[in-house]
Amino acid sequence: MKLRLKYGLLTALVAVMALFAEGCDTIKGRAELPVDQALPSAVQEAQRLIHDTHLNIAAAAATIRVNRKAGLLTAEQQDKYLDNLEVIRQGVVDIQALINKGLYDSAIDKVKLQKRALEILQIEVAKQIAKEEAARKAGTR
Amino acid sequence: MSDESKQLVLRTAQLMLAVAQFGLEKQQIIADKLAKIPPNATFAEINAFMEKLSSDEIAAARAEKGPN
Repeated sequence: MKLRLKYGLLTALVAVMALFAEGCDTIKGRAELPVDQALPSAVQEAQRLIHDTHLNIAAAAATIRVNRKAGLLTAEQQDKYLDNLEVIRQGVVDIQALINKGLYDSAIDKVKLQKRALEILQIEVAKQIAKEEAARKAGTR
Repeated sequence: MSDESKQLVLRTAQLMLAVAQFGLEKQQIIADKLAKIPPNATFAEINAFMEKLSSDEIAAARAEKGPN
């Protein structure tokens, strides 16, 4: 019974992680902003991903702010996560600058790397928040 | 249910809530901020808006002091 429960919960955890990995748009939403139709189609997709990554960065920052305010993240965690977020953001800004100059080479792959880095960071932040919240509820802290 | 199992249940539920929070914040930003982009904005203006949006939210998060 105990083993079955753990197996079920681990399956749920994997499902949560898959939610990020697959970028579940139904739950997460998309920016849906217009992009320049004169751009090559792969670059249009890169541009859409850039918009969406900025939106996800903003949402991640807002989540960090709310949980810092609630005391679920320490000042050190806040700094570390926001520093990482800034690095990802700068990466996206740099890709945008290349696109603006007409340098489209591998733009989509470069944006996908930033998107993946952001997803990994989101999971880390979520795990930390969950850990602290569960500890509070269990009365162990 | 053992304490260990209860803790695991709690952690799983909290993780799901934490994951959902990203989605909720995103929806809030779409509703509150993206709606402010003028319909006749140029592509360059839209790109600049999105860059400022992420920058502003990071700055706001940095300014949050928290209780501890």
